[in-house]
Amino acid sequence: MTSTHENAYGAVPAFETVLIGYVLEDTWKIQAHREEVVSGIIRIPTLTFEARDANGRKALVKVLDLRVNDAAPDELKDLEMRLKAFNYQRELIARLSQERLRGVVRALHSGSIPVTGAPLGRVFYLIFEWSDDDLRSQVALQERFDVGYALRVLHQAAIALHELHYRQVAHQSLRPANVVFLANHVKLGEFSCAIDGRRPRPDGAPVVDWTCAPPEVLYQMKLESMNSRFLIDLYQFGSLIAYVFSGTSLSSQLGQHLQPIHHWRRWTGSFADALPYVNHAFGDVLAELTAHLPGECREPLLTAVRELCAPDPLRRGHPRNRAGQGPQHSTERYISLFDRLAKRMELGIPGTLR
Amino acid sequence: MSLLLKESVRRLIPRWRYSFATILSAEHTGLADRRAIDSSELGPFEQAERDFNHKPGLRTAADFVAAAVAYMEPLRARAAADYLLAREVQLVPNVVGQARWVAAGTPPERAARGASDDAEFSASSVVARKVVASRRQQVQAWPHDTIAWLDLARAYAVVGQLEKAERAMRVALQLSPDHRVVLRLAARLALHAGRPEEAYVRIARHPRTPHDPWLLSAELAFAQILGRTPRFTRAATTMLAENTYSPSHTSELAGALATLELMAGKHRPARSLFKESLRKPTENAVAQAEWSVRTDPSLIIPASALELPGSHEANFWRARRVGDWRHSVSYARAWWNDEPYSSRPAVIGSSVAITALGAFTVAEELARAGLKADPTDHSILNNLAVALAFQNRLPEAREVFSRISKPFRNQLPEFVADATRGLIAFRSGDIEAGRYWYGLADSGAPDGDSRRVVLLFWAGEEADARRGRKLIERAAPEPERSYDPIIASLRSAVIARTQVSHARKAQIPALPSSSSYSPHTGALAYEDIPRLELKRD
Repeated sequence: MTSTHENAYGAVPAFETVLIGYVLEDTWKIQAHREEVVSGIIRIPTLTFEARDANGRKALVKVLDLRVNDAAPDELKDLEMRLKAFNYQRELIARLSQERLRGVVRALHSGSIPVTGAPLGRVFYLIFEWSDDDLRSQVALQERFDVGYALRVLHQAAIALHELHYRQVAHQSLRPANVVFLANHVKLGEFSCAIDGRRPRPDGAPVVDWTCAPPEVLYQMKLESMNSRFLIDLYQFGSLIAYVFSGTSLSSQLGQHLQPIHHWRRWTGSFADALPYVNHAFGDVLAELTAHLPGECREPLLTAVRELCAPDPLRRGHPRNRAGQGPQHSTERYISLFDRLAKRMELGIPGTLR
Repeated sequence: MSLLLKESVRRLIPRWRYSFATILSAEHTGLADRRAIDSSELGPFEQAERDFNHKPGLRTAADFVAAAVAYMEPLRARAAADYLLAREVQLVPNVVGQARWVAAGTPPERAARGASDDAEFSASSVVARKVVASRRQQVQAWPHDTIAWLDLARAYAVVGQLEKAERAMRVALQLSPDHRVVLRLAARLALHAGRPEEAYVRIARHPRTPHDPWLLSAELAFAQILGRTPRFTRAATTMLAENTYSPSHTSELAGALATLELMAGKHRPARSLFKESLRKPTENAVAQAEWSVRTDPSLIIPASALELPGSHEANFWRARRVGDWRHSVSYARAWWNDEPYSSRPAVIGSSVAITALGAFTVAEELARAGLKADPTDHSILNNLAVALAFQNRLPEAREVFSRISKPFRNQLPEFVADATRGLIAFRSGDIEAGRYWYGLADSGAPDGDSRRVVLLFWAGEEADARRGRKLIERAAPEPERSYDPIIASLRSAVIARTQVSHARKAQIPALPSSSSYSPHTGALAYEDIPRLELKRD
C-alpha cells in the first residue's frame, strides 16, 4: 500500500489506508483498496475497496472522495456538485436494486460512517455485489474467444440493456470493464454516467470515455432528448460486439482509421460536417472487422454492428425500429438475434447462420 | 492549328481528387478555431495510463493503447505499445495494429491507397477502374459512405461514364446535402457535364453559401464562367476585410475575388487580393495567382508556394510563362494525371507541345488521354488532328477532324478549325485548298497573338518562300510590346525551317535552328520530357 495517493486532485495523504479495517453495515469489513478499477466517474471521484463479511463473501465498496479539489475554480461548488451527483447515482441504484433487475449489479447497501480525519467527518459509501471478472479478462487477446460463449454473453448484455431502457435508464458507459460476470451471468455495473429518464442529472451531461463514446459525443453534438442517450447505449452495445471479436473497441478503431485532421481531438467543425469522414472510416472499420468475425455467423454479426454503430444517430438501430415498428433504441430484436445465434452454436447446428 | 485560347481565362473552380489522394487543406476542416479540451475529458485516458503503470500486462497495455488512439495521445502510450509489440505473436491483429499506430509516434497521415501524382501517365483510367471496383464493394457494404460515392463519381468521370458519375454524385448529395466538399464537387461535376448554370445554382442557392468562404469562392468562380455578376461579392469582401476566418480558409476566396478584379481591369486591388490569397494558399490559389502573372507581371509568387503538394498546374503556368517548354509539358502531364476528367490540361498541354516544342507524338498522347474523359471534346479532337497531320498521318487526322461537327463546342473557334483544315490540305498536297482555309482563318482570327499563330503555322506549310516570308513578316510582333514567348518560339522555329527550305533550293548551307522546334518529325517523345520529382504530403 502506498503512503500517498496520486489522483486527479494531486498528491494527498493516503485516505484509502485510513479506511482499511472499518466495518460497514455491521457486516462488511474493508480489506483492501482496489487501485486498478477504472471508476469511469470523472466528475464524481470515488475510491473503491474490497470488503468481506464474516462468511468470507466479498463485496465492492465505493466511497465518495470528498477531499477538496484545489484545482477546481470554485471548491465549494465542486463539492456540492460531487455530493449531488453521488446522491443521484445512489438513488438510481437504489431504484434499480428495488426492481431486482437480473442484468444489473445490485447495490447491497448505501450509507455513511463517521471517520476521523475524513472531510465532513464522515465517509459516504455504496456497497455492491462482488464480481471477480469483467469482459476484458474474458476476451482473450491472444486467441479466439469461444464463439458460443461470446454470443451468449452478448445476448445477456442485450437483455440487461433492455431492462434498463425499459425503466427509462440510459447507462452511457457500456464498456468492457463494466460488463461483469456474477455466477456465470452477465451484469452491467458502474452507473456513474447513467441518466434516469425521470429526472435530469444535477451535474449536467456526464463525461463519456472516448474509447467507447459514439461519434455524436466525440464530435460534441448537442444531445437533448432521452432517445439520444439511449442511442449512445446502442452504439456502445455494438462496440462491445466488435470488442469481443477483435479485441478493440469501435471508437478506437475509428480513431485509427480517421485522417488526423478529421480525428475528434483535432476537429474544429460541426458533427454534421465530420460525418462523411467518420462514415468513411466506419466503412474501413467494417471491412477490417469482417475478418475477425467467426465465419459461421459473420453476416448477422456484421449487420448488427453496422446497425448498432452507425455513426449517424439518426441511422442507428434496427431498420424496422427506425421504420417505426417500435422505439429506435430498442434492443429486443438483438436479444432474439443473439439468443438464436447462441443456441445454434450451443446445439452445434451446422451451416452458416443468417 | 492547336488551341491556345483555353489559356486565356482561368477560374478558381474547386479541385476534385480521390479521397486517398486529396490534399487535406483547410477545406476539409471546420471553420472554428482549435477544439479546447476540458481537462476532465482526459480523465479516462489518464486512468488507463495509471492502470498500465500500476500493473503492466497485456490487458492494461491494450486498454492504454486503445485510449491513446481514442485520445490521440500516442507519445504518452509509447511504452505500452512497445510492451504489446514485444509480444506481438500472442495478440489479435487489431491490437497489434493499434500498438503500431501508437508506436509510430506522431499520427501518420494515411498513405495513398491508389493513384499517386507521379503515377504512369496512362495509369489514370487503370486507377479509375480499380477505384470503381473497390468503391462499389464499399458502398454495397456501407451505403452511407459519402466519400466512397464521391470517389466513385470521379472514377466514372475519368473513364467518361458521365451518367454513372452523376448518379453516384446524386447519392453523395442525398447523404450529405449540406456538406461543403460535396456541394463544391457536385457543382464541379455539373460544370464538367457542360451545365455551368446548374453548377452555379447549386452553390448560389444553398443557404450555407453566404457564410462559408469555400462556397463563396465557388459562387464567384461559377458566376464568372457564366458571365454573371456574382451574388455574394459584398459578403465575400466583408468576410475578407473582417478576417472572419483564418487565411487558410479564405485563400481561394481571395483568389476568386482577385480574378474578378483583374477581369474588370482593376489591377491594384487584384494584386492586393492575390497577395492575400497567398498567405496560406491552397495549390489551386497558387495556380490562379501564377496564371494571373501573365496579365500582371508585378505579382510576386514565393517559390515555396510552388512546392505545395499537387502544384502541377501552378508549375505549368510558371514554366509556360518563362518559356521552359519541356518542363511545362511535364507539368501539364502531371496536371492531367491529377485532373484526368478535365479537358484543360490535355488541351493546353498538347497546344504547348505542338506550338512550342514540335513534340507531336507527345501532343498526340496528351490529346488521346484527354479524350478518354470526354471523347467528344472538340478542342482536344482539333489538337489531336493537328498532331496527327504534323506526323503526316493524314487519313487518321481527317478521321479525327471529321468527328468535330458544328456547332463547335468547348470554346473551339471557327478560325482554329479553318487553320486545321488548311494544315491538313497542305499536308495532303492540295496547296490551293490549304491557302484558302488558312486565308479564312487569317481573316477570322482576332488581332494579336491568335492571328500571329495562324500566320506562322501557314508560313510553316507554305512551299512558296516569298509568300512564307511575307506571312512571317506579318506575324512580327509590334515593336516595344511584350508578347507571348510561345509565339517567339514558334516564330524562330518557322524562320529556321524556311531558311532550311531556301537553302535546299539554293544549295546553300542552312543556318542552325535557334529553337528546339522540329517541324513535321514529332521528334520528341515522352522519354525526352523531363520526369518530375513530385512531392506529396
